[in-house]
Amino acid sequence: MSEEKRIYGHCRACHMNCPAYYTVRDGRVVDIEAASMQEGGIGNLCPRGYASMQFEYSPTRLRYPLKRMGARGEGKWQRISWDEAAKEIAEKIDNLVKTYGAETFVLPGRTGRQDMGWIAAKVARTIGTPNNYYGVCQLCLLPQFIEEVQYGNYCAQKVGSDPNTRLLVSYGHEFTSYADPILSKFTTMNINNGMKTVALDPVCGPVASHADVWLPIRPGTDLAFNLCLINYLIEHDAFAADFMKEWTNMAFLVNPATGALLTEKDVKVGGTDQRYLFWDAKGGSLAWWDADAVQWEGGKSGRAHYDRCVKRWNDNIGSTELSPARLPEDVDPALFGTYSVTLKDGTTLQMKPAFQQMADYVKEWSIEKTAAITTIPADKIVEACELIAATHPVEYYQSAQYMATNVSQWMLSITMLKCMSGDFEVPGGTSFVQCYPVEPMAFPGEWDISYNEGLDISQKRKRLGYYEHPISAGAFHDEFWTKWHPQRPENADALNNVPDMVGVLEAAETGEPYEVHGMISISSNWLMHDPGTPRWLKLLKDESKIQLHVVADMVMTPTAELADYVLPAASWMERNYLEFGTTGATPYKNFYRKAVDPIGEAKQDYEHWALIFEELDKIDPSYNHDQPLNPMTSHYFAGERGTLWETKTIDEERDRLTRRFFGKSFEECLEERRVFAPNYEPGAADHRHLVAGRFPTDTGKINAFSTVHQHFGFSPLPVWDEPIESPVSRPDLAEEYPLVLSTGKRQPGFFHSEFRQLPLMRQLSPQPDVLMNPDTAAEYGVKHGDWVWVEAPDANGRGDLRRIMGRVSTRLMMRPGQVTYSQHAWWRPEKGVEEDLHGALEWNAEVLCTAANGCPETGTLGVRSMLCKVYPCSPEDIEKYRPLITREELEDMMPDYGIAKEA
Amino acid sequence: MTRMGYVFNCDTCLDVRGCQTACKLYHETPMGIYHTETQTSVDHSSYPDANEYFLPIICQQCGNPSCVPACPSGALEKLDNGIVSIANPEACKACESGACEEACPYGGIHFDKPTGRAYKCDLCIERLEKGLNPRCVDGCLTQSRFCGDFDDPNSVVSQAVSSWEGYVHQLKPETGNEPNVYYLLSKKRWDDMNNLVTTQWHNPAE
Repeated sequence: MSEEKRIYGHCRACHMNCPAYYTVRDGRVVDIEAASMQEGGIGNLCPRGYASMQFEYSPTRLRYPLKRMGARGEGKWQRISWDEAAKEIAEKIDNLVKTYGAETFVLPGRTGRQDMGWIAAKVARTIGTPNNYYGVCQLCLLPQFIEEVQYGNYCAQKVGSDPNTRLLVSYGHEFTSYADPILSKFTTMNINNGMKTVALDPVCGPVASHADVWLPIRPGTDLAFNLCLINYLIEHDAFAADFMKEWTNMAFLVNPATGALLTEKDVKVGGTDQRYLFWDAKGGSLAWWDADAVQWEGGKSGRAHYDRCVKRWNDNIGSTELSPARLPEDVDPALFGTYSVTLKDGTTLQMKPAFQQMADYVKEWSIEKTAAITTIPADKIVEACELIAATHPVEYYQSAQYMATNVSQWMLSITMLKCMSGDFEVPGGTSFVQCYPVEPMAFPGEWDISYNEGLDISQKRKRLGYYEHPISAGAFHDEFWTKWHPQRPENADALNNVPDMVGVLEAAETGEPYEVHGMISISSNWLMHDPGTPRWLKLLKDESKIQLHVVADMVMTPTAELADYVLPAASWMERNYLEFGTTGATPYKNFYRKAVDPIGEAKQDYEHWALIFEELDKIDPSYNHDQPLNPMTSHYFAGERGTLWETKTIDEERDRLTRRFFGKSFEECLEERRVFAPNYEPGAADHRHLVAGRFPTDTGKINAFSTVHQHFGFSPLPVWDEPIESPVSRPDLAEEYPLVLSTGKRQPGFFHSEFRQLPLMRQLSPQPDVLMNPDTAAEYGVKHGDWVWVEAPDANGRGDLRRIMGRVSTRLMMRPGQVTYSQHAWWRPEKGVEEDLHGALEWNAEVLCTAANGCPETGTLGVRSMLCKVYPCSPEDIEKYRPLITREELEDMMPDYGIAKEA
Repeated sequence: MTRMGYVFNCDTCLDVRGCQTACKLYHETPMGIYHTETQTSVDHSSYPDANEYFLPIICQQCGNPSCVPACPSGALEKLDNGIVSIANPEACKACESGACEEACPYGGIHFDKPTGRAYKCDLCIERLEKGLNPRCVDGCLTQSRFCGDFDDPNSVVSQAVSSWEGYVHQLKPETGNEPNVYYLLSKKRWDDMNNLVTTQWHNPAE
């Protein structure tokens, strides 16, 4: 008799985490449906969600722990038991730690899919290395989290899905059609209800083609457009002066003697550096804002009110009462002008408010200059500026992944625009994801439960890039941010403490500043997403350099083929789930059941490491036991000591947490599906800064003038910086490589390197597209459908492999003089390991990418704005690489339901 | 009279491919065969004004179909409800010619040599009979697809066509095939089948 069950679970094929019902018959998933909106679901699933059944039973799934026989990349594997794997890995970890120091271990980046992010962070903590999650600042959402530098918490990215948004300004994304397509449901509703869109994108994909204004912009010059827009808004008096005066540091005077904001300490002996000085236009004199007292001179102090909010926050109770610390009616902080200020040493200097400095700088960013730099037609720039000036609330979707070497300055320009819009904490505008201390965080986030914050500061300071790229690699996070407030993001990936990939690569290659010998790749197909491909391959080939490489994954990826040990991971259908948010934080937690048991001997990632550390305990218990959990600057587990890995299974670990923080077992939570903390009370839903009375920053205001940037010697206000590899910055390279090269544009069907092996998705996009404007293609002697080589120059850290193949496509309208390789992370599961690790090189965009000279503040490489040339593939190339997938190859990748039954 | 057909909203189609994924999973069509295939219409001469949009290529359920008389085995039939159906699949399998595919001006029917038969959209007729939508309609994330009876003035398809007057288009109306599929497009200039591009994998031509 056939047994059929219908189980409430979720799809985890991307970040969006859509609730879904799985039909399971005789232990096998046979159907998947969306949970309806009435029951809290989305009502739809995207193509990948439906195709995920092909993933679950894909012949590419890993089922058993494997140990390498032969050389790395030979594809010779021996199946071993979990016990053997755990013992050997534990021993090798200990040897490397004791020989070279824990920092010899590096953990590459991965997409933010929860389940793995906090586990990897916990693994790094246990080993004692600060080098977790490198590469993400080059390739990932990290630029969004830089907002913590200016706002104290980071802001939500709604991508036009908020029904209150009247205008979406979108920078280079195809999120809603191809990357996280479930969002298209909501943005379409909003467009139907009159939401307008301005889309900046060199390529006109679905988002741009549906925009009211499409700006075909030269990659890496969005910063220039923003500077122009800032100037336009100032010239047309179209900015929210009141909001800026009261809630940003734009009125604070800049002390030219220091370059920093002027404080009372500069002008008065015994003065405090908590009082920031501005010119009060009404009073005709200097006045102060006191960040510590939460008070404007002449106004009420909000300190006691703030402290009460903090106390309630600590008890999971939100606040709704407004702070008394408002700007008094008779005080008007000047945003413009030049004022005489006498310092305490007697010198008198002319000082300007930060916004006057901004206005002075952007004056030269006329429409004409901007059109020349960005190559956007002038009339389009004007059209966009006019629409932006006139429409509120506006959402600036600054793009998940602005991967240019001017990213840090660009983020400053985005904050400036958001402040100038005044649409902050307004429905439909820019909102905090989590707002301290107004909205409680009733359950520890991923970062809290990883205990990674508990790593000793002396170890943290060894993180590669910590001082060189202080905004992203840790100096800001550890020396500043963690002291501003105790709230850590739900999302373990949402932090500015990631090693610099170039720093990791160079340390591994040269042994400077120390030797890197261990790699632990958890849910990371890094060969497909880290620039410097040939250099990484060289390192992995040399067993004296990388002495241990452990890979945990669901699929035998090209990266897994370079491992010494491969650990099979359970899929999202094979484990129960406690949801952590990626792009938002909620006062409740969602719980989802697994549909089926893991195939073969696959385990959820937590259990891999519980086993390994159990073995490590036998060698040296100090890794895991009697360790500080989190420091006093955290909210959760602050000052506690204990065992890092208390439980053996993920369900036990979740049960431990739900009992402690919800007073319920994990099983009870799974039954209830959505659970609030018992004593939780919500805070205000918006305008939360009015409740707090200050922002969770050092100044208590939005640092549109970034005090942190200024401290580290970077420009605190956005300034123009040409991408390091462009026709303008490198005319020498552009002689032979004249085309602007962009990478990373999405295709339908995939998520980064995932799903090439699902026949349903592969048929949508069978090969990478070399997107070109047809005139440009003709100029280079190629046309739609031709196979070409795309080659990058020998510069900026690239290795000796600098070209990849692709198929010319003129499907999407785009600007001339450019090639967009769409998409990144292509490998060829239809090929064997003997053909370049399943075709991991011929279509791998990382081969083209720069691997040096990243953004000074963050280390970000310019993977979306580089140089290249194109030329046709020869018939011999076609014969060798067989770029057209065959029907037989597609059919061989169809799901193998037999693996559902295997023990 | 019943005259079943589709309305597709090209103002809102975002090339997500939810429609064809839902269809392919349900009907289990062979590799490279799509009952509905989302393609891109792009007219580069309009740069930088993007005359670019997305639309499904699908059987037009013609009032006067080319495929039915072209079939040498009589496998195709125009049903009373207007659906052009492979009513006799056994007869279809006996054919090797693919004459139906050649005859169709719309790319709405596909002959698959390896499986030796033709494939086309039949509006998920067994679902219609239960009062359910075709799978592609439910699979569309942007609600850009509508199915119904054009002979019923109160149906959603009839209402859509009348309320979008001036912005309702058809593919190659000059064929005289009387297609029962309408495309709504107000934000771009309608370009018929003049500038279509597909990304999808197809069986190589013999």
